[in-house]
This record gives sequence, C-alpha cells and structure tokens, in this order.
Amino acid sequence: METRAATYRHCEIKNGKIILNGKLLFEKADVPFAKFIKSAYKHFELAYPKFHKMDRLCKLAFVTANLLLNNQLEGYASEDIGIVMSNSNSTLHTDSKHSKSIIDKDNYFPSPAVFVYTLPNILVGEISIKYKIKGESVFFVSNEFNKDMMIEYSEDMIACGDAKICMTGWVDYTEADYHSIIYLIK
Amino acid sequence: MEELIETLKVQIIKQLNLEDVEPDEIDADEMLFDADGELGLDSIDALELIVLLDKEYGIKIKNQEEGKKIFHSLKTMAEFILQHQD
Repeated sequence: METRAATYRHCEIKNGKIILNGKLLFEKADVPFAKFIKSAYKHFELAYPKFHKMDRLCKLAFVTANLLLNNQLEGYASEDIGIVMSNSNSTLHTDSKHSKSIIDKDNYFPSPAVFVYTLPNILVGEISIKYKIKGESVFFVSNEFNKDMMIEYSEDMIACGDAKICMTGWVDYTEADYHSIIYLIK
Repeated sequence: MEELIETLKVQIIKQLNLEDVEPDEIDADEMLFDADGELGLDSIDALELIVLLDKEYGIKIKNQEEGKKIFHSLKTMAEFILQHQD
C-alpha cells in the first residue's frame, strides 16, 4: 500500500513503562495502575486538575497524548486535527463501577461523574478539550489493535482533506492490564 | 455551622475527586462555580453535589433555580442543610 502521510512520532504506555519513539521516558514497575499513572502525571508536571476526575481509561489516554503531543500541534488549526482511536474493552471498568452503584434499589446513587465515562469516545473528548481540537474523530472497538487499518484510516482522512494532522492508536484498560500506543501522523 | 462546613469540605473533595485541594484551601464564602475560581467546578460537579446532598443528608433538589442559590458557596450549602434536615 502506498503511504501518503508520514508516521513521525509515537508514545506507548504498558507494563509500568512510558516509551516515546522507542526511548524509555519513565518507569515505575510493580505498582497498581492508579499509582503508576498518578506518579507519571506528577513526574511530567502535567498540572491539569481535571485529570483527577477522569476514569482510568481517560487518564491513560491523557498522559499518552500529552507526552506524544508536547507542542507538536503548533501551527495547526483546531479543525485540522483529527483523532482516530480504538480499543478492545471499551469502558468496561467504568461500566462495572456504574453498574455497582445502581444495582441496589435501596441504595441507588448513580454518580454523574462516573456515568459520563461509560462511552469510550470520552477519551477523545478529554484530549480534545485539553488541546482545543475540533477536527474529525472516530472510535473503533475491536478484538485486537489493527495498526495498519488505523494508520490507513488516518491517512485517508488527511488525503481527503478532513485533517492535516491526526492522532491514531489504541488505548485499552481493564483491571488486569492496560496498554496505550498513539501515533502522530501528518 | 462551622463543624458542618468542615465536614462538607471533606465530603466535596472526596465526591468531586479534588485531589489537589486541601480542606483549608476552600473558603466558605467563595463562589463554588466561579469560572475563574480555584476549584474549577463544572456542570457534572453540580450534579455530583445534588447527589451528595441526597446521599449524605437525605435532601433532594429538583428546582434548578433553587440549586443555583444553594450551591453559591459552602456557607449557603451549609445553611440550606441546617434548614432542611429533619
């Protein structure tokens, strides 16, 4: 397949490690995800109070995107930045949390702040709010990360003029595991 | 009243996940939903405060205009709770 755009930067988080373009940026192994991601947030001085309100999936996406982008969007109009994301478990962790809050009819207090995280494209929204992105976006749920398809989709968006730069990748979280990898394509 | 305000500070920090905020940093007279305020609360937080009043104090708020007055500050919240608790 002909490559029309260039993948020139990527950030990955898994197994307690944050890797940017193949280079290890941060490591805190053998700690639970919540502690790991908070440590990363503080280490990189991300200073965004709403981070603490996000669910774990969004925290994973937010930290990955922040380290990936780091001034990379300068010069691009809000409408020219696209986001194409995917994962396997959607928002299962938060869905479960919400479900527990409504299962007991005598103690029925669903949390609005939890409920808003029961759709996976909320992570696209959180990144968009932080970076004032108003371009095209889409979220796929699939068993495996299909890197080729995601990059091709992003390249098509750029080729069609729907975006000039695009973030694409995979952000997945379960109680047992987590993995994010986001590419920047232009 | 003062005791209730201190309790509310702790409950709000927990309910709204304001991890970077200490109870002492919240002024009882400060506007809770000031766009330029320290707390940075949004519309979802307003819903969470309604849930908090229901869950912790058994008080239900159904009128939006009433909510604006009640959630003006911690002090107005505390006054409302004291007036409406059984």
